Amino acid sequence: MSEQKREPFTNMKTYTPFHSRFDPCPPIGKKYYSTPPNLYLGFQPPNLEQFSPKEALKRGTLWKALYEYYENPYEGKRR
Amino acid sequence: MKQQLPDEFYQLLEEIQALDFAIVELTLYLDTHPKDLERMQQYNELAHQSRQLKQQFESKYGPLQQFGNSYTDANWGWGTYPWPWQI
Amino acid sequence: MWFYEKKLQYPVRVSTCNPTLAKYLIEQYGGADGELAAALRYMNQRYTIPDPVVGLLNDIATEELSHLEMIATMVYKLTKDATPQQMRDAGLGDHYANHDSALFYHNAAGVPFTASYIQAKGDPIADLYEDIAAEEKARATYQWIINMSDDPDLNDGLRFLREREIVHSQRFREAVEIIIEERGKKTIF
Repeated sequence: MSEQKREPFTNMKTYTPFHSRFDPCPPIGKKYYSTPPNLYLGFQPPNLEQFSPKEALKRGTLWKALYEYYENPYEGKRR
Repeated sequence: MKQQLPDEFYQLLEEIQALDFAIVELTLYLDTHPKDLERMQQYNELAHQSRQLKQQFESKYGPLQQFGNSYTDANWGWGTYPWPWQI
Repeated sequence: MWFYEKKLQYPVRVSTCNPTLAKYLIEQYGGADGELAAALRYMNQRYTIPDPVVGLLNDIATEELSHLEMIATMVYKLTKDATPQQMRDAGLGDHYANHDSALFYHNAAGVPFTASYIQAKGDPIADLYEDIAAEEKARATYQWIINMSDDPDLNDGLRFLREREIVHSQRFREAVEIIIEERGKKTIF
């Protein structure tokens, strides 16, 4: 499933909610939130690299800089 | 009951979807970058390619649009192949 | 004037027979942050937004309708062959009792669609920030649905739709910059 990740960094950030010793359930641990490229790009500059139309259709955008693959970060947390 | 569709139907449709999607992306880009001449050129080129593929598709499988944007055959093809949510 | 093209924007495929997913997908059909809300919001705002940005609202609204159609296709494919028992087992008994497997504009909890989900303040900054927020909320919703779904083909379609929200958000942010910036205006000293 991970073979699609090309970036060296991830667009997913984490935080850990405080867990009280009186909480009834085991702690969830890390909570994840997505910070996609549109937060960092600013006004799109001209001549950004494009995908081919076929690739673009699969990925949902023509622009490589705006593409972000999403997978369930809680995948391993089945109980 | 409508007939099953051949592989070629899906392949040709997907090629058209790919071109049209790039065109939509360029449209949105040009809406906020209305002076980018190179992108406008790319837009027109893709529009031309899309029209050609659609002509091919329509000659085999019937009209893609109604209200005069596609020509009809003698069978009112608009209704003769399955609708997008059915295929 | 609107014309319809007889094709989906993206080739939707659903590989697993799991009607339960339809219950969650419907959130993006008739829910507050769904595609119908988006289309109607932008369609309605476009009359009173400054000229440089009308085209963007018009075109994104149009694209959202094609996304509405994609969600409908996913729900339709998951429910069209379901027996009443299967609908009930999938948690769709409430829906079935009212609609059989017809689609309807309500959210995952069954709350029907309302115009209260959208706004048009007539103030372009307020309107555009609402639009950015709407796109981020839709993006998040697609993430939650992907998190719950094991269907690889369906998830590819949902990833496509999520990516569209990222791009739309980008364009609305640009629209804000366009209408607040004094581009091209001469500064007189």
